[in-house]
Amino acid sequence: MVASLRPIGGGPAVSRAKPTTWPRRVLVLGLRIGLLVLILSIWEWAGRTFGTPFTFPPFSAVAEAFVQLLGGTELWVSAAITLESFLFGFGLALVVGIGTGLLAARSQVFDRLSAVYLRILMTAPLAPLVPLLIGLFGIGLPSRIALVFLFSVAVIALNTRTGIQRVDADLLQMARSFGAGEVLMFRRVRFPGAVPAIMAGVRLGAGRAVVGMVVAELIIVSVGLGRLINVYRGRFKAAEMFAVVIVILIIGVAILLIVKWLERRLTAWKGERT
Amino acid sequence: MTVGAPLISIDRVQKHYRTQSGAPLHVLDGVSFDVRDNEFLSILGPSGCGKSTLLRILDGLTPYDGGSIAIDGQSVSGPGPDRAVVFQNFALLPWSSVLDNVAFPLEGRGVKSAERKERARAALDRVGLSDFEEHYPRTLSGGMQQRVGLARALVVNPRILLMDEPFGALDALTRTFLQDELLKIWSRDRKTVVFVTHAIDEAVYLSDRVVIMSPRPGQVLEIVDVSIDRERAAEVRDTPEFNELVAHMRHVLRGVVHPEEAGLA
Repeated sequence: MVASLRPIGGGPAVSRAKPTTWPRRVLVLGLRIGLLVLILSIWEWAGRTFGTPFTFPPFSAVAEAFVQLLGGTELWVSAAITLESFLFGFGLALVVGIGTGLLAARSQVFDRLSAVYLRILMTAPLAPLVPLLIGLFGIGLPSRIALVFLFSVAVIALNTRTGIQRVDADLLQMARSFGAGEVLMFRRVRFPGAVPAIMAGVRLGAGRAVVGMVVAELIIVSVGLGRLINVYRGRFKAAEMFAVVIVILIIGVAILLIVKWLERRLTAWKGERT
Repeated sequence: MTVGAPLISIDRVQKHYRTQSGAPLHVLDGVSFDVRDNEFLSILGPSGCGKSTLLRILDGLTPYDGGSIAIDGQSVSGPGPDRAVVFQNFALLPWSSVLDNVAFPLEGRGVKSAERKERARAALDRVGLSDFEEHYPRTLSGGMQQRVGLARALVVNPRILLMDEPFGALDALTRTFLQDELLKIWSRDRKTVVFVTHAIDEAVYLSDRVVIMSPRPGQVLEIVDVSIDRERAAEVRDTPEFNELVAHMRHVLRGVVHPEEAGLA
């Protein structure tokens, strides 16, 4: 019954974790907190022992700077600017990626044509493309959007294609037997069957989009949180700089949590709780 | 008996497959028999005798290379509303509720949503699953899933029910239970049923006639009339008539499945 669906990055079709029981959950949570405390303690100790406020501050100094940043407006304005490129770039990648994947699943010629480029986008380092993007779009928002898009579109497209192609042949035969036409077949069998693979692609794409978002601000143009990092580095305010890095990490984790939540909701019929 | 004139005529049907390596595989070799109106007919044979292929050919899912198949005088060229299949592996849409699964065949036929639901509920009622319409298939047992599969076939009110080893994936207890359920449902509206199985007792218990097929290339070995009264219940399995028929069919099959054992039987 379970088709061996293997989209890139696995995804929920493959992972069949045992349902975790309560004591185990508590244990895992405890270990996670313990590990975090350990890492932060080592950081604190290393910062006090080897670091200086200009190079490597202890965690406590970073935490202080973090709280201070949260109180000001500059952080929020910068975060909003940063997120702008993510929202547009990733939104575009969703539309184009799923569209390309559907088309590739439909037409073998298009599949052969597009696969090469998608694989290149998946594996090649994208930073060398930056001068090209600047030449095309200038150094404004469009360039950053383009980089986020390029980072995330390929995995979404490839997973969508694979998902559609791997839909259970028995279900397709059943639908044909009951006289389903192409539209109904797509709407009720092919697309829903591909949703787990598509969502795995979307999750991986979101992770890559976050990378693209940060890379854009560090190597294309200094705006948003990337600019804040540069400003604090220039002023030798290492604690503030690290605090901004932590903000970026939190944004990245939050985006992934949202996508994972969505993924779980859309594949609830598989009955996998994590 | 209300068994009538031939409804399905299968005449010298040939079917070849090409394997991945390109070698031809002769699956059906000159298969001929009739299925009568309102008859419960089983096709019995060992694995790989082409009986499931024959069923797919009857449904119009698979083309055939020679001979002819006619239903009510019309040549079969594709799936049609007069036939519905119950699949061995249930083939339920895992992302749809039980009700939506049962209503699925109506979606392609332009039936309005309200009527689809109504008819699907009626079909679910017939298989005794009214309380489960909002469930997802994975939450049901195998036996219940196949009852959903049966309801989905019944919802289109087909003239012919094609059943492809429908109980093959179920445990023995569930299987006998569903056999009785099927007989109950069948005795009420006497559809023509073509039932593929490799279980001899199942074929005898359910059928008016049993077509015994040989291993590949599939040929008709014998067509056996099951002359047991149609009001069947579990006790029938213990009668001498029943066991004689089972023994006879086993004998016929043994001769072809293990040729070297034929002399010992």
